[in-house]
Amino acid sequence: MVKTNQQKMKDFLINNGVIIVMFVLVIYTGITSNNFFTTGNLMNILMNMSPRLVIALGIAGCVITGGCDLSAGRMIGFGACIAGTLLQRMDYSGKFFPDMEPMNVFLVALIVMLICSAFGAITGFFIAYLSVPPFISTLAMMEIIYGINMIYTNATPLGGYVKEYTNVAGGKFLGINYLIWIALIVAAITWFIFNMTRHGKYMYAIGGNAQAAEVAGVPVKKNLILVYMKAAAMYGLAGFMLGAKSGGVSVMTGYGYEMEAIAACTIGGVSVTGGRGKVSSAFIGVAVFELLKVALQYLGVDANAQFIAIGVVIYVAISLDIRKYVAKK
Amino acid sequence: MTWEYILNQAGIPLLLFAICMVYGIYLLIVQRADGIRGKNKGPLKDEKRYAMAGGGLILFFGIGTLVMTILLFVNVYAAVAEIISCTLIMGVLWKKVNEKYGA
Repeated sequence: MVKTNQQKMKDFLINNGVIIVMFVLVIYTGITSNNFFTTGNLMNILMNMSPRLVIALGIAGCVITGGCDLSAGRMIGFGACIAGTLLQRMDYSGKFFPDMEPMNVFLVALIVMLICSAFGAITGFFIAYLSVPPFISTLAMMEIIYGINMIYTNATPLGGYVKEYTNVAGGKFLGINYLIWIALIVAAITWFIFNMTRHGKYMYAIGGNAQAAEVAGVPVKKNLILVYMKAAAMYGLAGFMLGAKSGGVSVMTGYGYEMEAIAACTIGGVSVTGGRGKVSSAFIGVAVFELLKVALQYLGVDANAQFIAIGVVIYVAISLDIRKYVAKK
Repeated sequence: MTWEYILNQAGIPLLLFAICMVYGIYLLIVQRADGIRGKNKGPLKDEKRYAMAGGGLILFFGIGTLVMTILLFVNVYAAVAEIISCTLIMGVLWKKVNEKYGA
């Protein structure tokens, strides 16, 4: 059946309704506030977006394969705590490892990513080989990571970082913050993986129809483990970035970030039913989410009311995504 | 021990316990597997039993989470060991459920 222009317009408005409303809200905030459309504010928004984009890109991979990852928030906290304990100043009174010299910042980032990816591999194993649904296995991993982090840090807040670490958030290259550069590099690598590698193609095939993909010779199990490993490494990196930005972390760091990331992916166009989504989808979703939060702050909306607004956005975005799926069927 | 202290220490496991309970009971009542497997997965040998067994396992995990919550106030090591054991048991049992009633 050929759609009329009116129907096409209606579909466009419904499918992109959340983004359009956000766009209008941002324009309204910009007009009514004096310093919303300033370079400083834009840089601030981009800096806040950076760790969230890295998380969203990790989760996007899981969602594309028809899964989800609820362990992201705890993994971020774990990554942030590992980095925190390894990068404290020697003269800091509450140093976690009093006799240990702070390690190289890049090495710590790598260690954090490797440790988190090992946990991601376990999650992937449960999903791929034990057929535990992603929702349940990542929920279990969320608790395990939380417990391990409690043991590791003894539930102590961490701070007193070396300058090299805090510089990751404060330093600039070509006038752009290092955090933004890291997010851009991760986005570029993810784009390459999604679009240029066999693993990327397999991810979409698994999300579209896992059984058909298996029959067609796709190593489904191996690729699922790889997806969750890669995602966990990204959460670790995001934790490392958040630690540098905030200057102090605790076991509660990253709490609730997974929900925001899943919602951001859905708003941007990554389908929760699997098989669909791009790097740009995650970017758009994160940008929309961050702009919404900042716009609400500028408009003086109560902090608790902001949670309601964000919840409504998540609800509407996921409902529209399900509508698209039903319409496609 | 104040309510705030309990929430700070064990808020996340308590929340997960509630989620597991609601989800497990939901599966036992509706007996439909798409609630756990997603909508575009292949057919099952016995959807009703798969959903019931899945619901039971989620309830088991939920109770494991509650035990973890209590253990967090006694010994964190014991709490982590308990939740790891529960996860492993659930994983192995889920594999068996999948072999028996799954695709």
